[in-house]
Amino acid sequence: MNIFKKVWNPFLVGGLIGFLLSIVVIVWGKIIGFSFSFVSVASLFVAVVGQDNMVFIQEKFAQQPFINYYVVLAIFTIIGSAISVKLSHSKPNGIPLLWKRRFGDSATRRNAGAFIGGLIMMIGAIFAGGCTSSHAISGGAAFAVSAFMFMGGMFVSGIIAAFILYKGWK
Amino acid sequence: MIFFSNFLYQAFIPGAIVGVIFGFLLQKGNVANSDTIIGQLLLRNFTVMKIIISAIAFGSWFLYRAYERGFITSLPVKQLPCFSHLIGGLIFGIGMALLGYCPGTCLAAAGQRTKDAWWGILGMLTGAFLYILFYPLIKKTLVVLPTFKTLFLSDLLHVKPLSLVLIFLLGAYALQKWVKK
Repeated sequence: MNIFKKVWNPFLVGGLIGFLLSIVVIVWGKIIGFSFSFVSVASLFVAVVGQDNMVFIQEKFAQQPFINYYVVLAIFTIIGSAISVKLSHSKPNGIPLLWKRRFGDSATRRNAGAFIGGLIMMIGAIFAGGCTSSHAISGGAAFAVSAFMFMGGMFVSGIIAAFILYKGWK
Repeated sequence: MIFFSNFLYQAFIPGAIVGVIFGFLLQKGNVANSDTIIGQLLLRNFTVMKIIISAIAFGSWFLYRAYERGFITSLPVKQLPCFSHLIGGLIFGIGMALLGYCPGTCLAAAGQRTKDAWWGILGMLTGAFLYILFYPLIKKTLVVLPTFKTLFLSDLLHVKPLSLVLIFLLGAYALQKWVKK
């Protein structure tokens, strides 16, 4: 576990994530998840704009504040990753290589793709009730049937979409 | 004052500790890099699979041990209509292929100073905003979908949870041994 190394063995990373998620469940009774962070911030925005009588907000935020554990978790995930980059002196990534090879090096196009992708992904995540971290990994570690259904759906449509987008069949 | 101490102990301390470690691990796992995730979806690079399988293997091991010994009384399981997980996953996959990150790794990529990740975050916030606006409509479909009776894979397959742990550990080992990328 050399913290200055750029990339670790995926099994070491996976094992440590497994350990971390069980600690989170055992010590704090929470899970690692990010879709709810985005929901919280978006709900806060909606409430501040003045529509706090929305059904969704009344259902989800009657018991808890908008700035909750998940929001803090999301912010500190950015910080944790920044610390890791700082320690290993990695250079910032530009446009992803695979994207550049397929769609050219227009930053606008990449950002638009990222924006639309994020939008679709978050709608799917909220509909499913979680993202990769909360659903697939935390739920998967509990051997929840829902986690494997989510993972199946995610990989099937993800693989098909990626093969179409990146013309992977050629 | 009560709100503040609640926030400190229930949100800030766990969120900060777990977030820093998790973001660190995602970055070290190279999954904050869009090429790794698209590489997985194109079946050229199996890093994502390796991380998920080994996280499930070790996580379930610790979780079920803690559960058996009574350290925790319930396991983290989502109770939504079952097909919403599948449909949500299908929508999620399309977005992930386009964005190249999942929500957690997008945040890690933002920490890695990747510019498109910030646009992904903006897109995700917009998606959440749209979901909140259209929630009354979406709720109607959620009610229609049937609920799953069996919550756990071990009950569905009629095996002990610890034998599933063993299968995942063996799977992780096999991936490490035979899948080079």
